[in-house]
Amino acid sequence: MGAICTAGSGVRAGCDAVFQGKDCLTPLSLFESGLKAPPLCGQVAGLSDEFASPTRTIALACSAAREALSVVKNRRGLSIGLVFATTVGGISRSELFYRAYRTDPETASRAAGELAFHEPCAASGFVCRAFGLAGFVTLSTACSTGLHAVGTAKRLVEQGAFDACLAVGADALALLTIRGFASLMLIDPTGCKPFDGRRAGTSLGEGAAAMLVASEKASAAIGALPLARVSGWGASADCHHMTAPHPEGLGAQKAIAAALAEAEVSPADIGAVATHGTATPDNDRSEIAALRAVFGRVPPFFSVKRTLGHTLAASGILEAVFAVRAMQDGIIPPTAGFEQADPAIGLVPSNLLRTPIRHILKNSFGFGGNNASAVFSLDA
Amino acid sequence: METLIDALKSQIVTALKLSDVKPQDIDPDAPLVGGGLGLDSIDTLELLVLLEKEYGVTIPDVNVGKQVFASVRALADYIQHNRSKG
Amino acid sequence: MSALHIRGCSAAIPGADNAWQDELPAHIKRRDPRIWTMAYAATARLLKTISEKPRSVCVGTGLGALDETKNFLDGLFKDGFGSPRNFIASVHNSMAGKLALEFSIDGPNLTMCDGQNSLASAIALCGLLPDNAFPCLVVAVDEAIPLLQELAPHLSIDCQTRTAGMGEEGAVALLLDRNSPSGLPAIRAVAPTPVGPHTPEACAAVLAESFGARAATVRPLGDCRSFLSAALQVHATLGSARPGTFIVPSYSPSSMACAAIEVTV
Repeated sequence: MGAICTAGSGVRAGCDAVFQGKDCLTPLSLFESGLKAPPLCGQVAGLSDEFASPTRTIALACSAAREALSVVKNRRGLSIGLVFATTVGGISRSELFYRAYRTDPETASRAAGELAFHEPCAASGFVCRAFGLAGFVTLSTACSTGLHAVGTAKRLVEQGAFDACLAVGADALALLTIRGFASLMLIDPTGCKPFDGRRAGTSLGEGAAAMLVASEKASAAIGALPLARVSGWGASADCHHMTAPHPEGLGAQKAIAAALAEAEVSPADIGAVATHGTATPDNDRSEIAALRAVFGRVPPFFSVKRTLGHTLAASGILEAVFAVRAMQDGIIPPTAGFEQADPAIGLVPSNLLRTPIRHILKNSFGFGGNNASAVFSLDA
Repeated sequence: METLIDALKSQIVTALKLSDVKPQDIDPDAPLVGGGLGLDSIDTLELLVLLEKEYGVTIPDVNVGKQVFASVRALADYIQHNRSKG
Repeated sequence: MSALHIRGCSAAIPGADNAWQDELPAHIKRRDPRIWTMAYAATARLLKTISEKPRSVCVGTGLGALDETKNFLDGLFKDGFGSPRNFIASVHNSMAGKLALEFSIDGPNLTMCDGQNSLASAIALCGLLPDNAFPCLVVAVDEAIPLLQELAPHLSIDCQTRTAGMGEEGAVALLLDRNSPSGLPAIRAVAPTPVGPHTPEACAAVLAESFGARAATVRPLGDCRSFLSAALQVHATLGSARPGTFIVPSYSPSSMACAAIEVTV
């Protein structure tokens, strides 16, 4: 696995912050947002770029991919595929070009260079070539993309398309996303408060994460012990509204149930839920409604959005990485940003808890009513 | 007040891209959201942008929002009481 | 992986006919972004021809609703206010979400953005879905972006160098199924592969390596500036109903990767 986020570079840095329930958000300083005050965001500081990445999203992706692939000591002719998840792609660069072009038509002469990496697949192609991977698919389903990428990687390996498959999710902060979310009144500039009665919106973040999914045979060939199994993946659509989730979380219920069914685990086997937990009034309420409907008694749950920010397409994989680490260490992290219960929800996120976890559920819900859920399991 | 109402009607049609509605056909006392214009919750967000952009007026919370968007007249009323632009 | 069966194929291509705009229901024609309306029209035409109801959606799009992104940025840069409606539409998966909403399709909903290879990726991914996700609605959609056409003289427009493509626009919708009665045309695809020469034969070879060689007619690469080229070729191949196995190659200069779709009629 590999990760880079506001808490630092590497899985360990992120883990430390998540397990302590740290608040790592800082006022946006990467660029001028044009908002009344810079909102609290999860910014990656000091991004070192050894790949001469043409966009920030690619630089983040390469950092995570390299860490995940470092476990492969010898490829031995194994074919490794790539499933790439991004919402922003090269927008952080394209939007600067466009702003300049609007006021100065002479800027057009730079169009070829500035827009060459605008498309999401330009990032996938770059990462594929940088690491000598065999082939790739590029997914873009907003906030749920990361988890869909993990599920897709699993399927590709199961069906023999590749011996192993790297699922990478990456999104850099961009003016488009900050102002876009703000226009939808989905941002709490003072920092998100997941599941809190006073919650008023999410906080955006940037980052990347990677999970190398391999068959048992390939794992043995690579010489790396698997950290966990991707035991189930569920996907569904709400068919309710383009940005608001279904109030009872109907679509989410389907995705969760499908993931549990494929994993062949019953709700009682799930030790913890790594929620989507964006801290918007709607998401948290409907996510808990969905969990109640599926579980009856909801397992201990947590959200890392105040620690890392909502990293959009990266979030599904980034948060799954820490969910797997939490499961490995037998820790249910506290939820930064949560202080007061919401009577309308009736449940509160877990305090820091040390307890064995054999199966953990991760949820990721995106715009357009797009739902993804996955179950990760430790082998006995 | 009537001038403001007329201006608002035109601005609403433009901002919400209601290509099949003539400003003069909008009933100033009919409900804006959930009424005959077929507006949805995203239109409410667009109206918030319109309020701030054209009149420098913001709405502090959802409850005030409900009263303000009750009709074009209610909207005009709120603007008159709170506007900062001339 | 075995091939999927094509239960139907329809298209809405502004260059070919404009009747599709009249077929749009009022609430969509009224205010929805152009790219959504083309995807809707192709899907509506498709679902009129078959009784099966789709249970999942896979959309392939090169640029997504880039015009909406531009509109949002225009509002932002001009007055300091970006339109929420423009932003919602500008997310790449907005078409797939809208199709799910309008046609009540509540199963898996995926959007693939692999440039000119997007349809190949969509078909390849569709093949990975579980049985209960079928039939699957697969839609390739891209629109002409006036801004890119304006910048065209400055963009690298040959396929040797990376470009932010432009050109044809429209939507092609397919209903794909597994375990269907025989006699239906079949389709399968490989995901993008970074191979050197992007000739049609090289793309076909990638397909052959994945699925085993088959005697096939390899279509020309087409104008590789166009994101819709592969989809239009698939549509034309099915439309002609000439029996045979055809390979539709595609190449994305942005990602420097090629893909291939095999259609057996």
